[in-house]
Amino acid sequence: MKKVWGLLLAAVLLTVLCACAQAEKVLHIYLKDDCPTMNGQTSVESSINTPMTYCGATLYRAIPTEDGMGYEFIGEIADGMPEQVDKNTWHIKIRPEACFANGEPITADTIVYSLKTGLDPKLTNAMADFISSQAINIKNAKAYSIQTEAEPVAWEDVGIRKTEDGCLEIITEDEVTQMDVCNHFTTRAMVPLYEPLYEAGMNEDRTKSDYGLTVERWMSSGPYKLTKWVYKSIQVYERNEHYWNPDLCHYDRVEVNIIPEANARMEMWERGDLDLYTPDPSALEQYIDDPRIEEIGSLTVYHIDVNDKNPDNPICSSNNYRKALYYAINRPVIAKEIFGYQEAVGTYVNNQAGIYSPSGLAYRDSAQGKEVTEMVESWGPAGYNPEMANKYLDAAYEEFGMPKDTVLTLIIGYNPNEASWKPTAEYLQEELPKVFNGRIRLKSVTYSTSTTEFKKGTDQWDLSPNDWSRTLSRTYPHAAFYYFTSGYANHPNVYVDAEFDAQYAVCDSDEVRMNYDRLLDETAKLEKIYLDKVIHIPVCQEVGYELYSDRVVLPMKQYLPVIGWGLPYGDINE
Amino acid sequence: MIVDRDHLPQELADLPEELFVRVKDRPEMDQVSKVRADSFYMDAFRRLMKNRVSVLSICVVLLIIALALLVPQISGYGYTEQNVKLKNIPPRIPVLEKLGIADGTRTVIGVKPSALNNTSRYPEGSVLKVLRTYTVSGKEACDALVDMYVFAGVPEGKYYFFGTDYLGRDIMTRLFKGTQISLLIAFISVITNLIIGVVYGSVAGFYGGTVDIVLSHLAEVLDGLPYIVVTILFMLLLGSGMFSIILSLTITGWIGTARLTRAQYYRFKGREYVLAARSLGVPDRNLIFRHILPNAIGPLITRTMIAVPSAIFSESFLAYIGLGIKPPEPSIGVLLSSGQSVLLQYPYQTLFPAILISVLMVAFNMLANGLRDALDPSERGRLQ
Amino acid sequence: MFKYFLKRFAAMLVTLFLILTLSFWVIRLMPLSIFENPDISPEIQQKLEEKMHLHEPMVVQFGYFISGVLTRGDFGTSVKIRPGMDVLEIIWERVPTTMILNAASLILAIPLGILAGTIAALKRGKMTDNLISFLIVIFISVPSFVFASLLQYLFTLQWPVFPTLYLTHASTTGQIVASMVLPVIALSLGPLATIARYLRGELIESLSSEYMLLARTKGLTRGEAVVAHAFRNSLVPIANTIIPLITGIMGGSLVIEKIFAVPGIGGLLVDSIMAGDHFLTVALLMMYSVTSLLTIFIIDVSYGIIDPRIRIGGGQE
Repeated sequence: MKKVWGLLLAAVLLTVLCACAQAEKVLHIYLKDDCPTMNGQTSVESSINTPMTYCGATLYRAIPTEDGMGYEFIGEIADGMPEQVDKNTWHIKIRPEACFANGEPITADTIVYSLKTGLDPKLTNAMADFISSQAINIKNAKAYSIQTEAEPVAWEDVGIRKTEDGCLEIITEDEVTQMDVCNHFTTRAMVPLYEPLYEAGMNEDRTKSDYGLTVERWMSSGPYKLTKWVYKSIQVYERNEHYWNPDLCHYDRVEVNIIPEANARMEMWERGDLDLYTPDPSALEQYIDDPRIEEIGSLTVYHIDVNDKNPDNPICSSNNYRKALYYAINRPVIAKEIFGYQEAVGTYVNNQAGIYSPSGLAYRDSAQGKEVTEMVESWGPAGYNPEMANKYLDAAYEEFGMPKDTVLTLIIGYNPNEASWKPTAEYLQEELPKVFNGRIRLKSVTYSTSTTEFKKGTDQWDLSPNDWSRTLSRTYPHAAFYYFTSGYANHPNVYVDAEFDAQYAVCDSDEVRMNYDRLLDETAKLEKIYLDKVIHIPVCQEVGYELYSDRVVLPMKQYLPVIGWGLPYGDINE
Repeated sequence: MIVDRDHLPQELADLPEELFVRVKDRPEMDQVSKVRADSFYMDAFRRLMKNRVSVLSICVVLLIIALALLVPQISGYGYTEQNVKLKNIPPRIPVLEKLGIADGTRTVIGVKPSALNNTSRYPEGSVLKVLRTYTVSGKEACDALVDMYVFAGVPEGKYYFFGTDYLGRDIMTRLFKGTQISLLIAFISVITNLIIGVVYGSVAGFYGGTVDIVLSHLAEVLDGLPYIVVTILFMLLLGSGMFSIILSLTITGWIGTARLTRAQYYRFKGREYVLAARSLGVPDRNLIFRHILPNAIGPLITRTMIAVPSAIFSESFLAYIGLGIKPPEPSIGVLLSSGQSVLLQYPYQTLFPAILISVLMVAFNMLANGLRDALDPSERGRLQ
Repeated sequence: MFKYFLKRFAAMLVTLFLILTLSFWVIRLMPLSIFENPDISPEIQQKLEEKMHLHEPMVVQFGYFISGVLTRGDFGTSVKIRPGMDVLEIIWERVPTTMILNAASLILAIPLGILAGTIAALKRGKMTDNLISFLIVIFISVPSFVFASLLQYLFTLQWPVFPTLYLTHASTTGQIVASMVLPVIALSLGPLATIARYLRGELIESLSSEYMLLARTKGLTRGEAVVAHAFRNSLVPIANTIIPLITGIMGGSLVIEKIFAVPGIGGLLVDSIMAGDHFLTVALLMMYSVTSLLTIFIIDVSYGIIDPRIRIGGGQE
């Protein structure tokens, strides 16, 4: 009899529990691959951005405005906006109620410790340059983190310190705007480290710490706290009751499933297990006419690198040859049919470059940027013009004294695991011979590792699909080209051009950077040189697509870059 | 009486040639056992042909090989021929389309009515029927039956029997071209494995002792490395392609055959007939290949037959992790793995390769079973 | 016997060391460098390489590695998959999940496989045999990525009976168990078919052998003879297929774990090779090698006990 009562009681309890569980507001989202670590200083994987939005606090945070029409920066750990003391010195007040998820306060000391650790030359964090030089260049910070024997730099000389009244003082190398300072302190590398745990996880010779590798070794500081993390399976976030602004978040719990399989993601969405779904390129066709689909912008412009040093290709150094290839790429077809509803572009600066600038005018929408776009369109749709392509190939052959009907076999190298580039390469393999009447043939070489490794290993390639987003900036449109100058020593695109480098230096000079109108002019010049020299071949501007479930109430009425639809600040409506 | 071949007694040397008939050319049966006095292989072949399942599986294998050679020639499409405007079109087969199967239609789900009415998106006549109208997230949506051939603008009278893929290539042509390539990979790797394995296993098994220890340990070291690692290494060093795939299938693939052969040697080398041969001074080479090896033929052939489909299988796994044959060349594995990625939207892209690989597997396995029975020495001579 | 056992064990250790050396050199000589990543700025990349002794000659690096392994059991630190984590910890973090699922799938597969194989052999040539053989071949022939995807589609979307993913976080244990069903089924198909196929073959051979005839002439019924003689004799070769399955439960299936989002060890090896996380790759290789050598060792020793004639190095006669 007792047993029966026990069972009944258990059943009732279970029902009550279930009822409670249903009343909870739980947001279900997903990641395709798990974060290698929660410590934003040690890994370059951008997947860490998602958890950091929920469980990491930074000095500043962008949140949606009341009316849902825009966003604003607020001090999260910082109290108010940064103050400019003199030309290069900024003071940041720390919010007195700022604390970690266990209630321990975050002070200027915590921030200084975190930044110092991030830059520590012995620890060698992969994201150290995000601390030393991202939106702003902090004085001596880069030199400190690299620490050569020739010129050692002491920590005292780095432009990061605590003032006597408990503020954080930042000294920059060159003059910057308030917006730059805010931006600099919003990346995942800036999330404060919890010293006791960090030190506890340090090894004997202080060269590594296992901070952030599991939930026990990580201390949250954001609006939510990480309560469960099964690597490659799920991340669970719950409200952080110590967070200074409890009104910022409305969910009781956020569950981030890790779903590596495209089919599984789609099934989860169809079952209603997910609140946000980003259709994969192959699934886009099915959702493109869905009434719920939302377009979102992106910084990425896909492009194809062209090698000028292939020993097997006699004309690879010719500018005419590069131009021929530029005109031969049928961007509209690739963007719509193969990448799937992307925007075909014959230019390289992305749609969002410049939206953070003082005037908020994107380069692509400015008169200068439009002029370049029109020039490209005058050649053909997104610069595709088979006739011109053949003309330039003729010129290239002539330049090297080769007969006009020479048949050239080019090598296109790509990673077959890349969902859009693989079909693109297959398409080009079929299409380029048609454009050039059989004079150009493509041979494919596939590799399963990163593009860089492939290119470092060999010179025997001609075309290589690529994309770049790391150094892109929403403030400075010219920064899109930084990766392709000789200044970026690590870039795998071996093509460098002196004129292009020089013009980039002009754009990057202090006086041009601080004058946005000037910057637009110079960037347009830079982009024209880029097109003339064909530094590489642009293909399409990425357009993202998202679907939200109807139980989510989004705080934004329109999509805006940076903040998107403001999902982290939304609510659940059952 | 010991007779020297060069000094035959006169009466033997004078025998007319006609009296000598090869045993297997003799029409009559052995009078005592009522069994035809055929050679072992003739007998095995005859028994194989008596087995209906084996005959059927041989026919299926031959049919698939014939299709693999013929279809890419006569389908009217090249296997790399693209038409991106006609991508992902469902199958349409004459006759069957009248029955409502494979009629080139697809049910699209959750489409906003404005898109459905937009003739630049859905050309006139492409929407056959609106099945359901409902609301999601406060917005109207409907399910509709769409004729994808009209939707994509396929010219009248043009049929894609198995549909098209993500670049508008004809899947049927690609499938049979892929079968050609997959079978080629399988045959070459299996034969290479067989040769290496038999020689290696024979030497280890026949000599035993130190030779066996050294050879077995060498094989162990190789086998100790996961095969996928060895494969990736080859791909990285040589680039992906047919050669690397065959090489990666052979690098550790022969070890099983070698083990089997070795075990057979241990079983047979102590038998009296081997001892007899050895005491007659038969050289090792002949002992290995003429006297002992034939005993192992049955299990070896069976194993080889099963190895053919497993090679195709391994190749498809490689394709799944992105190490398949170099695009745009197709193989069954490549088609399966690209089909699997769109299984929910375009199931037919997985269906046809999956059917083909299954049929091929079943046929080869049944054939292997039949061969095992046929080559079983204890069954020899049995007619029923 | 004991001496043979020791001899084999010593040989295994030598093989293991050879594999360790071989894998270190091979992995490091591959055209992949650890830190070549355009996302890491060049200066930091150089610093990182110095920190990991990558600028020193290979022999010196091998010295560092071997001394770490032998003195501290330290296989190094991961640099890409989980930067800063000890590679052995990465492996141990993932092994338990894989082991649970694999063990469950074997509990399902071994009895069913034996049952199917036996029935097929006894009903040789009949409809039942044909049906079982056909199903076995289908299980073996359709690649697991297609099968698993299909299972997932059918039982989570078409008839939503089970959760789509393997759950590690759920309100009730029932849900967690339910989420294990599909991956376990998907995992068990291969072993099931393999066991059934081998057993069928072996049993058929045993059934037609002379000792069976003898057993029957001794007066045993067919059932008795099958159980006492044929079945027992067939189990010896079947152990050959089952032992690797049991020792292999630590190695996960790349495909099935990916499809059901199982946080197991399945794709780790391929991931680490592709990412160029060399220390992790070598440690994983060691794990798989130990497993495979242990398997061979167990089979060999058990053979040595059962049938002394096939001991390795058993002499020319």
